[in-house]
Amino acid sequence: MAVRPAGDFKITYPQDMALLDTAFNRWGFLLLVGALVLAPAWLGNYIFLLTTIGVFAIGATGLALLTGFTGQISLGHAAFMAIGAYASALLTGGWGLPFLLSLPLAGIIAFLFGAAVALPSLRIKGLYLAIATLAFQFLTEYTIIHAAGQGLGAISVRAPRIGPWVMRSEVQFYYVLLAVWLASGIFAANLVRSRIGLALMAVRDRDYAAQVMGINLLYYKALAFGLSAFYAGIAGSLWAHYNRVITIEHFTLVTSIDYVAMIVMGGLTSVWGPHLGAAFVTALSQGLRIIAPLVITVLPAFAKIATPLREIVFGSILIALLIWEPGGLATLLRKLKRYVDLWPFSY
Amino acid sequence: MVKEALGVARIYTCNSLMEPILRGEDLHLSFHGIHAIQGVDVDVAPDEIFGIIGPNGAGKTSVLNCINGFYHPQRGRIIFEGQDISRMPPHTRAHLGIARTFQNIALYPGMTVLDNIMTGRVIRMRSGVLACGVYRGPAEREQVRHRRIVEEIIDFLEIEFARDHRVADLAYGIQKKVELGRALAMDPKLLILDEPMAGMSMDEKADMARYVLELKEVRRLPMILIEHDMGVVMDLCDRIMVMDYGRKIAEGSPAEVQRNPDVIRAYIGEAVPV
Repeated sequence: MAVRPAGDFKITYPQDMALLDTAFNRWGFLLLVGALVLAPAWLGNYIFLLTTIGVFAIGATGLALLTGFTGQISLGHAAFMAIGAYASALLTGGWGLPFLLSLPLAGIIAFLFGAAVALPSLRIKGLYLAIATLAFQFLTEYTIIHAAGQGLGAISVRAPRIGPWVMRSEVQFYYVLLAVWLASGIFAANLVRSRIGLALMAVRDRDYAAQVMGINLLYYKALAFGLSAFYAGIAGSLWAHYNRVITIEHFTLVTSIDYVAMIVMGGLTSVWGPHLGAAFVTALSQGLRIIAPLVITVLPAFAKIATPLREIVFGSILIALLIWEPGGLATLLRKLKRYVDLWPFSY
Repeated sequence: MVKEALGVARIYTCNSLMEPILRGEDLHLSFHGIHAIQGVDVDVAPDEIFGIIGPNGAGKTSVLNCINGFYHPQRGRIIFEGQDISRMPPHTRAHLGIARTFQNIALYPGMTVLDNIMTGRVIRMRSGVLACGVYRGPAEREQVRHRRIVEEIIDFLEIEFARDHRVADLAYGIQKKVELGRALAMDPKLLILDEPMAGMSMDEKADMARYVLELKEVRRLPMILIEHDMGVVMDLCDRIMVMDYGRKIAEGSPAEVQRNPDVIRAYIGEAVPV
């Protein structure tokens, strides 16, 4: 009888450094991608949920690179999303550029703004940096409202067009989004495990030691801000072309804080965190939107809390996670998998 | 091989024959009127372990901070391999080949031992953002190449068992080893060790001393060593500088320094005639 060794044996360094290092993970990922590809067939009209999750997962991935991996707090993430959205709207509308060009350009423009915002981060840290990014958030909102002229910076956006093909249906848009989502997620995961990721994490964990190891703090902080803004810009561009009409209401401080909630709930230092967080926050918001009116009809006494229900539930979940599982959903999932692996033994 | 062959013919005791790898001239450093360093000269030869000792607050760590660029001395200059580095920021000096460890461990607590040491290789890697994001191809090959070097360091320091542990979970003595490993990963030309044996057990001290000697004999790595354990300093160092109140009060071989009356006075105090 042939005996197969139990366990997972890595023989080469590439195997040891692979993103999906076990058969379980590889098949699981393949299943997940398969499910996402086939999702429109099942979800029908609810495909907008997945589209929303995808857009915000891309944006949250950017914030995770900045806050989770580089340790720089930002309360202005939605501002970079706005920059990407308005840049893409103007590039496709005014200049008539194709969507496939305006998408990366929106990211690059946001990147430049992000790198510029990073300049003070060499001097200010922690809460002070949060306030500085908050200022950038308000500055961007103000500028867009006043530059656009009409109420709340409303602007209509062209339907995305790839070559002669104009995307009119939600499903078509979803597949374009899915491709960008996958690519950006894999790009971020690769960044994190390579030289750049090591440098960013070194800046996060001990900046003066990083300096002694030859890591230029200003360069890597600017890079982190730039990359995070790039992701936000891409997300903004996609969001603009998906909604077809954008106003500054899409990109306010509330969105910035939602982003922070997503990466904290999802897991700050995990490449899966932002995706889980975006899915969780989006699904929860939509779910509560359905539940809130029910609360009012069934329990009229609680009508007062039905309106801010979302804030109450979000706050409670956030506090609960911070107390019991600071690693967020990503860590929770890993623990669950471990539990199932070992069941029925405890170790 | 060539380096080792040359080493045999080298005259060990005669430092003056060789151009120093690091020279600090007339260093002055003060913080708001407190004179941390007052006119100190340092010369480190490319084949020696140079010890700096002195009572607490003597300015030893300040000298190191001037050498690696945390502080910029108000007067004097620092020359490394014939190049004036006095005005360079720390990360540029790291690129030139100055590595150091810290008195209070300054590892990256959230990262594994492997990643901690790997960060030392960041300055020796070349992949840019796009190559890293794509990963397949050049970035992966580079990563593997540098991983081999890091594994050699892990072997050398005998910390294989801790490879995938988060640094924050490890014992103090092992963290000290990891910090040495991280500095070694930079392929330094000059290694600065700020109290590498503080708070260690006898066994751990013996291990650390063995690593230091091996680095000197095999890698020909010049080192600056601050240490409070006099036994260790006297055994390991080729030359010692003694500091007190920001000044150099003695310099020479361990035997010379031990006989120096100024040093005895600084450490033990003066005999008072009764």
